[in-house]
Amino acid sequence: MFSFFKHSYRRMRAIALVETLRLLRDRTSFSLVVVVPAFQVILFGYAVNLDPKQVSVAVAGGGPSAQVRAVELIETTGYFREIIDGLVPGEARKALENGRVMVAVELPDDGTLFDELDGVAEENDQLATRLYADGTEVSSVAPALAALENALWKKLARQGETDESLLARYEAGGTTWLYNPDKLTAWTILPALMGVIVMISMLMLGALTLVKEREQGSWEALVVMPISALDALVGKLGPYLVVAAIQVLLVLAVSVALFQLPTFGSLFLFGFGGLLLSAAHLVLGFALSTIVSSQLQALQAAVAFYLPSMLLSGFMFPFTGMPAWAQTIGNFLPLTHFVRLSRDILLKGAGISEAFAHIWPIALFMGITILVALPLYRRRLA
Amino acid sequence: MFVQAKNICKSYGEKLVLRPLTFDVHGGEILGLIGANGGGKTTVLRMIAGAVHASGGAIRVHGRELPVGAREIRANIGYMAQNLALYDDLTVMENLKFRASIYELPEPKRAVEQIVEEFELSKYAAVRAGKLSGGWGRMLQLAAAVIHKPGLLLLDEPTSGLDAAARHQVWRYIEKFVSSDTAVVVSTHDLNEAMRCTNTLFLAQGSLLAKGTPKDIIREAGCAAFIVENDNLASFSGTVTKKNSFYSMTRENDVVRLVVSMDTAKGLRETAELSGASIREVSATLTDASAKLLYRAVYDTAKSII
Repeated sequence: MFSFFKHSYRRMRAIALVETLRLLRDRTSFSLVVVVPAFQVILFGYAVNLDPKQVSVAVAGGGPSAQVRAVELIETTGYFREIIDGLVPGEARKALENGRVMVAVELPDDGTLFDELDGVAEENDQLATRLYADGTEVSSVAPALAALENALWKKLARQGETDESLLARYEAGGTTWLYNPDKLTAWTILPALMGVIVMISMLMLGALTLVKEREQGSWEALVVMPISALDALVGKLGPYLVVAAIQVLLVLAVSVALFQLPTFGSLFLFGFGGLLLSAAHLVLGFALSTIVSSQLQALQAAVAFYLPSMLLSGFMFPFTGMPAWAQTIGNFLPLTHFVRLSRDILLKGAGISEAFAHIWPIALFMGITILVALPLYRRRLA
Repeated sequence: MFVQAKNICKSYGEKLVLRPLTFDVHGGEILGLIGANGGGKTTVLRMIAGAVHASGGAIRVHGRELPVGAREIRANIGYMAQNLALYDDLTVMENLKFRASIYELPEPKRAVEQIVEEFELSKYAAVRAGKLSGGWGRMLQLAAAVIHKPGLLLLDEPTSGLDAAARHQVWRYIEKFVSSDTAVVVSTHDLNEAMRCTNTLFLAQGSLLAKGTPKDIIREAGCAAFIVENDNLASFSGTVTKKNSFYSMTRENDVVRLVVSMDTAKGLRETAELSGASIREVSATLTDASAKLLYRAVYDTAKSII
């Protein structure tokens, strides 16, 4: 029995030694094993903030005095970065609908101008302050609104008056969450999740294409055929776009069926955005595939890109909560723009002009990646 | 002229893998690249195919200069890699259809059917390439390399790992393929096979040791081969080792085959007679010439270091 374990131990030790040597000699894999976690720690530590304090707000209506008091109150919370004030009634909500701000404060104007609003307001609400919040960004807005309410109650408590102050009428108006009245997390997560799913799968499939050819040996035949870099790129990646389309349709169908996810905008536009995102990540994966030398390295490189993408895109954590440097990086990532695009189209019913603002950065990223991938492929051929 | 290479060389960083090499390949020629492992044979083949860029010198294939005209050149080249460079998860037919499409053959279906018939692959048509035996895998690879009827066929160790019958089959095809409009460049370890080449380049450690027809190489190597028979071969071998210099000594059943220089042939005869062994001179082969060439190469390298 002892002899059995002794010999087994020797064999295990030999295998472990070989594995260790192989890992240490695969420098790319080894450095990715070390660098990726270090990078994640830095990102989580410095970039992620679950209590975002850079919410934009617009204030409309009321008299000059009421506006000043409202802005002072908003500033005391420390949660709002950009405050647009001096607007006429109804303009704050329009600013929110146009995507310029995430919160709109409509102050009562003694009932005179509220007739211009959407007619939802009841007669007795016309003297109340009304708040509108972007329901597609619940996690970004909710802490700021809570802070605003807290500040309001503190102020009222100090003044000892509850019925004379304009702001006291805030409670009567309450908060209207546009696009997502019940603040359903699923509605904010699912549109973006489609982007995350296709990003991960396309990046991995793209990264494995050429390296798989090299490991299987078919690469040697491929390089001596009359195939241009563009032939290889389009031919290799084209079929995966069909896979991406199936993934998007599947997640969309399940989201609508199980979570009643609204689809106010054009599904064609949404699909186009999804395919563009898929193509961008496929090309990026293809570029990675020309650099790495094994499937393990390809997968590690894919992970090294998609994890920061998920963190910095606003999918998992509020984009407005991140520091400026992280937001700058985030704005270069195609997923960030798809997260916005998907929420805008599905929840807000955005049209082609609003969607274009999110589509062109993804297209630009893809264009740049193609310009990088093609010479890398040619270099690999030689 | 199919290939015109002038002083082509290749280095990776400071490591020189091919010293300046000049050669031509003409129509109807089978150029054999022979020599030991690491000699630079595969590098030369890949350079002709445009898959490896020369670090120096110039190479023209089908009249076009590489690497500029690489795509056009590749359209008229058939390349068979040393390993099974096929999609092993695709069937024989699927692999051949892929090649037919890449080379934009006017009638791809017919071309595939013809090549399947020519290489007797019909019974394996639906079998995945990865499931084929070594011999049939090689035949499929060869079929895939010639489906577009290239002018120039490049073969990297086409018979390695094959049994004698399969080797013969491959060489029969190579010889059938060659005409005044076509040429073959083939690398091989097997010097018996190399005798079937019309011309050869003998490479060792990236240097050209000899070039010419196999008979030229044997003649120019200037070595003599002897068969020695003795009751006590072990004792005789020991005596020869002490007294004579030789390039190679191999024991074949009950005899010893010795390759020596012309100068030392006389001394060897004397040693054999003193040992009571029967000795007879035989025609030197390419293998014998190779032994001498490699011996000289090692000797010269050692001398240059010292």
